[in-house]
Amino acid sequence: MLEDYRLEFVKTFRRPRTYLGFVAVGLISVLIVIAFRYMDVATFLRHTGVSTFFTMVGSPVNALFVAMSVLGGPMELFIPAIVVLVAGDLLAGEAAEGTLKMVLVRPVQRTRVYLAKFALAGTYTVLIMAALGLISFLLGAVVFGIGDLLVPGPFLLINQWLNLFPMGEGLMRLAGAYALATWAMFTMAALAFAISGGIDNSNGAMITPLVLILILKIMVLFPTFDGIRPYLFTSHFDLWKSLFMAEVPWREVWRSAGYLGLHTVLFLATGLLIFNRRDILS
Amino acid sequence: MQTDTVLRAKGLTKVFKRRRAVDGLDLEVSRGEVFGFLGPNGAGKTTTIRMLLGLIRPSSGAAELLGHNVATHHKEALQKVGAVVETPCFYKHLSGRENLEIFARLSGGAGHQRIEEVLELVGLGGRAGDKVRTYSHGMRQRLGIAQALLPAPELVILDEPTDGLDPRGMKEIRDLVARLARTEEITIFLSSHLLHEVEQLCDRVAIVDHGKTVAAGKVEELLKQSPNVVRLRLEPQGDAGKFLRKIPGVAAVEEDGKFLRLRLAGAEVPGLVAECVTGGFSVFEVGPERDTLEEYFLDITGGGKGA
Repeated sequence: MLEDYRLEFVKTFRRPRTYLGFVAVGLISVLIVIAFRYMDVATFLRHTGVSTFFTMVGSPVNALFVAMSVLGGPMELFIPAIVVLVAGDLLAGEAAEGTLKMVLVRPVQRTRVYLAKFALAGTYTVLIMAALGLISFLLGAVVFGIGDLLVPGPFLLINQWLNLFPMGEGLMRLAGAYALATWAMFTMAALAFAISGGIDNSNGAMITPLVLILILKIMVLFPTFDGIRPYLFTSHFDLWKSLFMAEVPWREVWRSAGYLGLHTVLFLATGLLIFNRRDILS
Repeated sequence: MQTDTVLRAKGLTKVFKRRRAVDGLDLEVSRGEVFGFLGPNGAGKTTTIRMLLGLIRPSSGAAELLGHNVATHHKEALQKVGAVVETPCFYKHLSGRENLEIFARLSGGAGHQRIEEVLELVGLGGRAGDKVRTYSHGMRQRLGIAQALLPAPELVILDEPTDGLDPRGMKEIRDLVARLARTEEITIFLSSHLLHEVEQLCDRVAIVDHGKTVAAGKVEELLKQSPNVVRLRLEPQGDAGKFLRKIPGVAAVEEDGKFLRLRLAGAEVPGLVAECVTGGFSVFEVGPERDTLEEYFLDITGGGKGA
């Protein structure tokens, strides 16, 4: 199994386009640092409503703030898009290029091929999230320095005004938030990967999950669908934000994490069933 | 497990929605032979090969390779089998050698020495370090065969190995296949729609059409079954056709430009020539018309003139 994984690792990381994702997370970090550098953050925070009851002196922006901020907007669609670009291509891309048939006429079990490839999708997700955190943190440290973490609640759309965590605690909370965000992205990768195992068109495997999360995100904007909101896996993608609340609602965090894990397993199992039974025609 | 029958298909059937691509196909290939799997495009050859290799699940029937059922003992069945299905595809961003290293690991871990051996065998030793994206179609085809040879196979399945190659490339591949059968003593199962290729390389053939076996046997035996047809050029041409039709043992006469094609059903050529001369005709040319597999093939798959 480890050998199968190693082969997948070599195949993927020797391909130049694999690195596009890392370039993209680098660019988004640069853009956010530039935006904070030339933005009057106090005015910006006033727009979010934070400064209604506070007077902001100086800037809360530092490495921790930048690393937290890049999780905000990008986690909605940008990071999922990067993850599915690779996860969706792993099986469907090989099917389209004809190498899957070359692999499967060797004495290998489809289940092993499937699991080795998903392990690779998981590795890629971890590396992308780690790159996002490290690049944004380092850029933030160089441009703004490091210090305590100020969390304006409305900025993250959490129901708290303002939390200030000492640097050590801030770093711990940041690491935890990235771990939870990565966990959520596993679900995204599993969905794209499962679709990828059933079709020969990697574009389909990349676009379908993105369209699906867009539809689900739009759906929950309407009160009509309030009832089903907790049951949609996309509703739990922002569980990482809980780590920036003064009192972390651990019960909810674990429930969301469990719910996402269940979906990951469900997507993977369905994909495996389809992949094991499908005819390889390309 | 040593078995004399290295490939067996029993009632192999594949139905895609409403289309019956393969319909109750039976095949048996013995150890050591070069077996031709012949059929026009769309006859079901590739679907059959994909079922034999476990890429497609049969709707019914079973496939066995080296005595193991492909569906239930996939790993054992493919352990000593090499295959190239249609155009061989590789990781283009890796070199030929790196590709073989990947397939070697999937084939049970053939070592570096075996990789170099197969590269030399297919004549790619000098280009093995180049990226596959720089390879010609012929080189990729040879790399495909190299990949198939990695597990030191007892059986190699090649699906249209010369498809899309120029005449030189075709000859190289055919020579390679002949060499593998002769010197490496590998059983070869070769599908092709090129009749002269099968005729040149194969000991036995099965001809498929519309997913069914329409003929099977040794090439020369199949040719013996084909009706005896001769081509004649007589002068004067005017009434020759009418005259020949009256000769006992001549089943049919077709006019083909200056020539007449006669289907013989009992008549022998010397007697036929004597009859023509006695009848006042001068015989300028006479020869067997149907001595190739191609004619036989066209006849039984409905592609011939007489069909």
